[in-house]
Amino acid sequence: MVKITSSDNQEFTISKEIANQSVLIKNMLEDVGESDDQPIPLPNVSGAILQKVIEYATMHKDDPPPAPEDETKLKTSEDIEERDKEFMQLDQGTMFEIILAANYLDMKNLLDLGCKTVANMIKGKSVEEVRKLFNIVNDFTPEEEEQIRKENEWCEDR
Amino acid sequence: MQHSQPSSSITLESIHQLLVNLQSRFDAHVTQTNANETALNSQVQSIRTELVAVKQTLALTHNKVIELCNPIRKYYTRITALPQELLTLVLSWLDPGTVFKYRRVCKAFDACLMTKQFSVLAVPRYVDDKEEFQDVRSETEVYVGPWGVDPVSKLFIDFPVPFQEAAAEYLFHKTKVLEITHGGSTFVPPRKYPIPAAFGKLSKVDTLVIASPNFVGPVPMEIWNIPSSTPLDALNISNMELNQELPTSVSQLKTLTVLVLINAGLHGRIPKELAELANLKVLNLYNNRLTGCIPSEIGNLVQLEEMELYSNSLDGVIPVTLGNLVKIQILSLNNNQLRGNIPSELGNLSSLRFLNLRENRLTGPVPAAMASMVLLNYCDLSVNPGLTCNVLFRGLII
Repeated sequence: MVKITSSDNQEFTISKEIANQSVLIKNMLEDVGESDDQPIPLPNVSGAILQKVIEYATMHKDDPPPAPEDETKLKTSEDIEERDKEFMQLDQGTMFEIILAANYLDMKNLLDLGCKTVANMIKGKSVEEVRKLFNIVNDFTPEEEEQIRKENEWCEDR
Repeated sequence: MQHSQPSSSITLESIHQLLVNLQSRFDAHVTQTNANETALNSQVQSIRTELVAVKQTLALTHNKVIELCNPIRKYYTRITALPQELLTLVLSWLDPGTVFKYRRVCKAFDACLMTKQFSVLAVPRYVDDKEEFQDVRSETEVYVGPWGVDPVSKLFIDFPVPFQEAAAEYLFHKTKVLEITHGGSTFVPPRKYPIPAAFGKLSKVDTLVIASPNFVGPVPMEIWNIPSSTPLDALNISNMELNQELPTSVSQLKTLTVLVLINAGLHGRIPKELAELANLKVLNLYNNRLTGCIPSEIGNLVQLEEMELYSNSLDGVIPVTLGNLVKIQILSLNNNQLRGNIPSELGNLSSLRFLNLRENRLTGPVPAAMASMVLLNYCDLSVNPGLTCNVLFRGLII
């Protein structure tokens, strides 16, 4: 078993096969060796997010290792397992926190899942709808926006 | 005397009645109390449950407060708070054919979509699932048809520059010969396109031919600045209106052996820096609007086998240094305004087979040394009214 602590000092005890899904933790474990009983500090991830990440890793602990040709095979953002879709039914803040955590913990599958989920939220929406969806303030001056609109004439209406 | 007896006599029966009465009242009381107790108990229970919930909420709030007190953590993580490389990853999952419209969302989106990182991810997503690009990716020789119609051309029109650059690197990763022509079709392009600056990123190409009126100039600087690591051997940009001077930076293409810029609307002088292309074997600049004289430095290009500068407006004299071009076989300077004598040094051109000096303003005698050029079998010196000729040799037209 492996102990990890979150930024807010919550301690989690997880099995090694779950821990190893994070390349960051895996490398740390290899560096410190078996004997060390000290919990691994993860100062960039809060307890609440770590809980979700562990939930994901637990769900996927029995996945077969990816075939090498998967690397070259192109996948689309629609390519998401049903259980993963359910897992990502979250508020935006948590979703972005999970993307940040997956990047920090070096968990490619979770990072891809997060990015695909957000991409699917954007897909098919107009610029204005995307701004509204993510509460984004348009920080262009009217001149700057007009310039981009001109450069984008070929794809604005697609 | 009347013996009075109590008017209501206490009988066993009445006592019994009384007791029954009392009993039933007591029972009712007990039932009531029990009911009250049950109600109270359930109330207590619900208060306890509520208390647990309140405690939980309190604990969560407490956690939240601790979290919020952590200065590292942002109050509420929004999409624009993602670092650029992660927002770029998100956007890279969208269809490259439409994603660039989101440049307008905000500065952060725009910045991501214009990165090399984005384009390197987006180009394969765009190219790999389209059959028309599969051959291009696998062949070393790529021939592209009318620009604006050929599917390959679509990658280099409209898309932002970083995307075009990544597309050039990805699509032509094996390409040694890239030839873009009009395809012999009678198709007239609805518009003319600039030559893609992204072609400066062709890293394996040794022959680049862009010969089509689908394009307009100028030739982007990126092409003159193709790095010396690219084994560019032949550059041919022809049959379009470049409307520019030949820049001195052409001299940076040190690996060139063939430079062809014909029918291209070039004006101005031939830069003397051209003579720095020491490996040049073929220099064809005919059918342009070049003016000024032929730089004497051209004589340094001792590897030259073919030089055709005809149909320009070149003036001045034929440099004597051309006598150094001992490997030259074809020399065409006809239809210019060259004046002065034909230098006798031309007689040194022992490899020369074809010489055309027709329609210039050359004067004086045809040098006798020219008769010694054993390989020369075509020599047109006609339409030079000031020229006199006392020699006769094979192929001479005067």
